[in-house]
Amino acid sequence: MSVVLVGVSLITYAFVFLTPGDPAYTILREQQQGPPSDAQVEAFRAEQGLDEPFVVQYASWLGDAVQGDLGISYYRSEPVTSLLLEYLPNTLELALAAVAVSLLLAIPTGVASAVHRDTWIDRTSQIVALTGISMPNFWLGYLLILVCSLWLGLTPVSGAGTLGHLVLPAITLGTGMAAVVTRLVRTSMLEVLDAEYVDTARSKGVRERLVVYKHALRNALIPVVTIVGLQFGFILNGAVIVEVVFQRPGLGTLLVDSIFIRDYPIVQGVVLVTAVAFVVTNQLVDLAYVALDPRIEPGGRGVSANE
Amino acid sequence: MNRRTALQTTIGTAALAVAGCLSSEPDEVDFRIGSPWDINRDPLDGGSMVRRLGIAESLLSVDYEANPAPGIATEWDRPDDYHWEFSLREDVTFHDGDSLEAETAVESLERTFNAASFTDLPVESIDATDETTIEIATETPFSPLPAHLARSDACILNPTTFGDEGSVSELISTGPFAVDEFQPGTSVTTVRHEEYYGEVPEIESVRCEIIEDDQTRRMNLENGDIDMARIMPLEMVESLETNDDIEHYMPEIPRIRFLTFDTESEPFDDADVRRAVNFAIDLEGLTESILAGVDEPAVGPFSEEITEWANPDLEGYEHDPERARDLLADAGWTAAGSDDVRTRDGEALEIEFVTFDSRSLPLIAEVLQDDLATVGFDVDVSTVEYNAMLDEVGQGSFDGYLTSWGTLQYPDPDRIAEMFHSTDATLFHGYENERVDELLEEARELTDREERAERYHEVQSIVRDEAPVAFLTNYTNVVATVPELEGYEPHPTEASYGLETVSMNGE
Repeated sequence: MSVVLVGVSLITYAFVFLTPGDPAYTILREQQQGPPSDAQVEAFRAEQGLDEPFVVQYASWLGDAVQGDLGISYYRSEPVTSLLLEYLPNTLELALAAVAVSLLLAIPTGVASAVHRDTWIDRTSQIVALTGISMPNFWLGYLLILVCSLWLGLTPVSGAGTLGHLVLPAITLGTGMAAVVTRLVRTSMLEVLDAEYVDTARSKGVRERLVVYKHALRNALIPVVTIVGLQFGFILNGAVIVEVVFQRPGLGTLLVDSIFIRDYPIVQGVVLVTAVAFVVTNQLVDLAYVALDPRIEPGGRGVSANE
Repeated sequence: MNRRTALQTTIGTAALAVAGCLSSEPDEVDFRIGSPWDINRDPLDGGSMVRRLGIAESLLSVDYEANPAPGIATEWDRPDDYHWEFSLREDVTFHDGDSLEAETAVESLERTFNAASFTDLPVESIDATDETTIEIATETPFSPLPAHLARSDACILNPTTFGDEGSVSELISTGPFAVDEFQPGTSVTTVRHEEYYGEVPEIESVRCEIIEDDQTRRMNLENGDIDMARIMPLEMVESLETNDDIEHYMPEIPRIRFLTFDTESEPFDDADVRRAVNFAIDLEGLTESILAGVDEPAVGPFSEEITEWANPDLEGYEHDPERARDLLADAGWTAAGSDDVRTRDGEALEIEFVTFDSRSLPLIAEVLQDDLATVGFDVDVSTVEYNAMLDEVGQGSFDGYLTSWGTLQYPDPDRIAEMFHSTDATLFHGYENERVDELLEEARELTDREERAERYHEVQSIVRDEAPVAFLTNYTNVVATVPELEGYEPHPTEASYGLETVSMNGE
């Protein structure tokens, strides 16, 4: 795990270093809303250690990071850790809610679609899924705000904090994901329903409902869990558009804003958090395999190694 | 987790979500603003927002003529070229109840002037000579000093909030509103400062929310979640005009869009080629077609509407493609047919304009591309991210780039030295004119307003004629509010939202 984290941070640090746009110049320009002079830029570089060679800068960042100090934002003069702690809950909340929405929609639809293969149920759900994949996030967001907030007055337009604030963004983000997952559930269910052990179960006289839910679905969910795990990681800093439309301060927006103003300590911090989240999600996905598939034993060969 | 618990959990969550849907928060503040800009706690990180919201105040304010005006300091005097004296009010109280004295103001100003964005100013020392007087000595005669003290990043804060490394733990200043709750990146809530020395505001509390997205901001306004939406896009003006439930204001602000030439390389090292570009551009057509007819064509760095520093005799280039063609032909750039790309010594008149991904600039660049094609330029437009653009043009490898600038960031015309002075300029145009340098340097030292104005007016004439930049358009802010808002008067330099004078009536 630590290898992954060091690797990720080194790569981002290098990318950041190679990006055009001098952080000293950019930050000063943002702060005073006008171009800084050479003397100011020099002073800022010296203050932030930006005039050191790459290796020295990285080593000193890494040294501090190991001790839990992610540095201070260039632009906001606040510790990066406290900024991350401020933004993380909103993002986690949204990611979890979106995943919940997507599973809630995708699993029943996917299963129904597979069980009633090539019927109107299947076709309809396929079309809906296709629409879901094709619909741009921001557009669905505006549409939901118009309908639910402006016409029906059910939810607040935007913001964060209460559950009401969470509903629309979760639906916006969740439906897009649900579309992908529905198709996955369908494919993988179809595969499993054709498997011999399902025939065996049927021939034993197990009721069809039980066959579908207990025998088939459980096995079909394994690839689904993998994808959902991955998607969860992406939502953590890939939900920028939804965050902007619904005015939710989250890691995605924080990251993008920081890249634009070359606030590198924050960029590093967010990337690190995301890397940790990916590693942790992967572990959880592996654990979910164990719960779903009795053939995989905890600690056994079946568990993929992430260390 | 087995299937049943999973199902129960999800159903539970859904039920809660629906419940959350139905409960709406009661509104606990009198006035709510939605603005796209982030709000910083420390004015040195960018103090525009805390200043506009009436939380923090600078030593001087900016009046509606865009000049430095009394604020915490009621009057100022320049006993000799190198010294300034500022007399402070006696009844100024910080939000936490501490009273402001000259000593405290000096401590706050010292932190300000040690910051990177102030190190270039020739300030030598700041001292409190008695309880209500501050004396500032400068290394060189420096007339723009009061304007710099009126900057929004020069706000006076209570020094008890200063940390070891120049950080600020809390925003405690002297404005008509005090911070109640500060949620970085989200919102700031303020309550009125009862001990404010000036007129105590009618509204008791304000919340400013950061709503980056234009559509979302508008929908918030329509839904009654906010009372004022700042910076609406120009294309929304038409629909705002027909909407009776929304009031809108369209103040011009001291900001211009312009095209900067690289005057050190072909073809724009020739002033006639730069003039030809100016003649070729149809600014009226441009503002009508893509700026909804709202923004006006710019004639120089300042607009007469806003400040008397603008040269009143200045006239922009008229749209005269024929003249542009003549100028180019005289400069040796010839074309076989009228639609052909011109050439000189076998080299084609091919240029590249760089701009960044802002709202209007990429569109403007495309209009310029068309306009210039009609006189024989072959223009390539590339749109990049802002800082990547600065990086590119900073290395001097460009023909021209489009950008926008606030021209009264501090309320003094010395700002245009940053545009046109041969060494102070930060535009990378490489333009040098001894007369311009001389005028700018003299005007920076002189006290008399008339004498200064003469010089700045002359600078504006020279740069209009020699065209190191092509001025394109002025800038308009569109502010939408609920119709109940009364007493709102947009400030010309956006130094304040004037919340201390507004009220919500006519419910």
